[in-house]
Amino acid sequence: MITIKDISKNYGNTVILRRVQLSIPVGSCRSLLGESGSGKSTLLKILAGLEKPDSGSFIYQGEELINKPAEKRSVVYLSQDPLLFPHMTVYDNLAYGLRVRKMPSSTLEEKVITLAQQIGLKEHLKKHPHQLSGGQRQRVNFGRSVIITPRMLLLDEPFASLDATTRGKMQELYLDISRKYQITSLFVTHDVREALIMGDTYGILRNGSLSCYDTRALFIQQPDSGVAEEINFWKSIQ
Amino acid sequence: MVSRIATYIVLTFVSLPLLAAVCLSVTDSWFFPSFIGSITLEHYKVLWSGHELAHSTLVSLAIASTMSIASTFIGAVISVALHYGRHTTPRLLALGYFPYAIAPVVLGSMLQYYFLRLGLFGSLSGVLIAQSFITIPFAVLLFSTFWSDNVIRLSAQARTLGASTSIVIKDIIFPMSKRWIYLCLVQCFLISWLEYGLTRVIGAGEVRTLTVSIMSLASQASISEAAVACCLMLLPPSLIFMIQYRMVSSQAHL
Amino acid sequence: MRRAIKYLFICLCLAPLLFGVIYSLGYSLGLAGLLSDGFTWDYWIGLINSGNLMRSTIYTIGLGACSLIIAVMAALVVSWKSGRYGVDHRSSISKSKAEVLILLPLLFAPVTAAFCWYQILSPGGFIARASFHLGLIHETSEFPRLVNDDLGIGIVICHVFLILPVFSYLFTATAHKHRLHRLYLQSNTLGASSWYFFKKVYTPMLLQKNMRVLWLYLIFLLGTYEVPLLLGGSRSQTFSVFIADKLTRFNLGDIPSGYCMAIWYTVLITVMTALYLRWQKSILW
Repeated sequence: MITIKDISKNYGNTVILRRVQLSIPVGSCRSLLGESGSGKSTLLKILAGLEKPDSGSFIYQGEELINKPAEKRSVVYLSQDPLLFPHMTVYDNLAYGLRVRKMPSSTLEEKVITLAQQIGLKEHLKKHPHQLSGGQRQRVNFGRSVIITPRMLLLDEPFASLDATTRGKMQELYLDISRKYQITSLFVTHDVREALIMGDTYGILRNGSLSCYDTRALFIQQPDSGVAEEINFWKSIQ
Repeated sequence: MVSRIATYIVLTFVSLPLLAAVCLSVTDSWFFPSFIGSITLEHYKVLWSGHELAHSTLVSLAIASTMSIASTFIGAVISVALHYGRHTTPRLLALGYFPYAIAPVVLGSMLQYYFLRLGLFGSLSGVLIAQSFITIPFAVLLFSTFWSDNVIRLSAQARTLGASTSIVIKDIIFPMSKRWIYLCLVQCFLISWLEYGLTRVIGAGEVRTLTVSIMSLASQASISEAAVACCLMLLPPSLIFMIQYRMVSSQAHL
Repeated sequence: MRRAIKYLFICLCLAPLLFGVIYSLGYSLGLAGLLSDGFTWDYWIGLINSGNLMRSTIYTIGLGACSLIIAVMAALVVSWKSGRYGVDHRSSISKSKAEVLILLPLLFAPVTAAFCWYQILSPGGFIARASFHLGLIHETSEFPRLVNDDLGIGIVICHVFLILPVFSYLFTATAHKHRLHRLYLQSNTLGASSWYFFKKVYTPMLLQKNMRVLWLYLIFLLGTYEVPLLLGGSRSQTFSVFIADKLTRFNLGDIPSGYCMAIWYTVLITVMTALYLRWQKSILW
């Protein structure tokens, strides 16, 4: 179980996160719904070790991670725009985390090729990021993160910049791969449909305060989840 | 027609000094009113005969190369310390403009007392230290343009993938900043190579770079030798310009 | 470690200037140096009364402004030509060759340029000899004084030579970036002539977009040393020539006035640089 307790963050007098609490069972995904400026990205950066909270704890299977540096957490942050290393090929990008962990090259190559096959990029391993489409780049970004089987994956609206078709394909791919690799993840989005597709459990972040819902039914009942509005919209046009 | 004439006037204007330098460097007995005296390559021979000019060229090359490598290295280290993993306040970087804005000769004149007290006046090390007051802030300013939001986020991404600071610098920052490193090496070399005022004041005439030699030869009315020195001065910038031009042209073709 | 390096950078930027200013100020007020015998305004008053402070200020700023204005005007024309607004492409000179040639002055150190222009413009120089052969003059004394003159004609010519390629490139790049060619075609369809477009759109737009760079160049021009040293006259001296002259010749009586001028120059440049930085990104205030 991953437990986040009482995480708070202020910038000067502005409250960004107010005693945020949540838990995620290992191997599952919690979708987090929130408007821009609700503190979603700050929460993810704190969990990734890229920002320091004012208070709070982050416990993975009983181990406190909050004071560990980013590189020792094995908690990978994935942002909206795929941050691929531009001077490296697709192969090198995918292998990056494994090389950092000094994996023997034969095992490394096998893992990279298997993953490249799974994400449909085996033919593109020698290309550089600028030679790929937006969807392909995001697949490399995603593959590079899951290949190291991180303790937790933090996804910050990863498919927001993709067109509707590619986005649908990426959602399917993510669900498939995350199940295969037993990835624990926190999936941030502002799209209620995406939150429902991707998550096993849910949460809504408003002005730095988080409310968690462990079942779909509970989440749907929430007036500010936007689900009721969505259902009413589709009913109204029928 | 008028436009063509104007173009030729501008082109003649920018080419005249080069023509003058080359003509004077291969001319002997340049007495008024003859336009060009007798043509000779004698003045270039001094470069192989242990003449002061050969020594000045080597001194200039040594100083400029040292300044280029040292300033780039120190500038890069400072830049990493200022920018790595965060956005540096522009106010801090703004400080880098001040030593660069003050005329080097004025800065040198105001500081000569301290150099005298420290025993650095009139010495090569004094000139190197004095030039570093200009080249290092310049290098830091130049490297600051490398640290885009994207670079900072890529470094953060690498860290979450498990890379330590040293690995991020080696694998991400260094390869991505190669263009800046090259540019910084070239620019710092040129700043030092073209510098006169600070070198003359702090070097007190003892450190004879090519620029110092040109001025001293010109004041001794050794016109042809000064012109040879001018042509030598033009060589490294021309070489750099040609390399740069080819690089840009080949990129444009791609 | 990072904090230490940060302070090292601050020291590196400020310490030389600060130490220089402290000693210069001390010397100019009679508190430091070989002549020090207590606080006095005498050196400052002496410098002001001699008229050197005012003369150098006007002379330096005047030369800088003149060089800048002429270089800007020439660069505007060069960039206009290289942009080929309203020009039949077949009739102009090979563009790439001309554009490379215009960058030639970038290879020159100020000292090299000053030496070459001296040899071109002096009474015994290339232009004087050409004038002699064309029958315009009969002896060197008839040739107008273009170097070491009080107006600083040679200095301005040399400065224009040194900065023309920078501005030409800058204006051409700015025009390209802001797609002025499209605006030109738009302006044509509205009935404006090329000259009207140049006057009312091209020039104001490029000047406005590059005003900060022009300001920065003015700062640099106020500090040039080699060019006025070789090509300047004896009656008026620019800041840098005056300061270096007084502080490096070791004439004890002259040293305080050199330090006074150095302080005045540093204050002027610091204010101008601060204005530039404020202008650039509103980062200082």
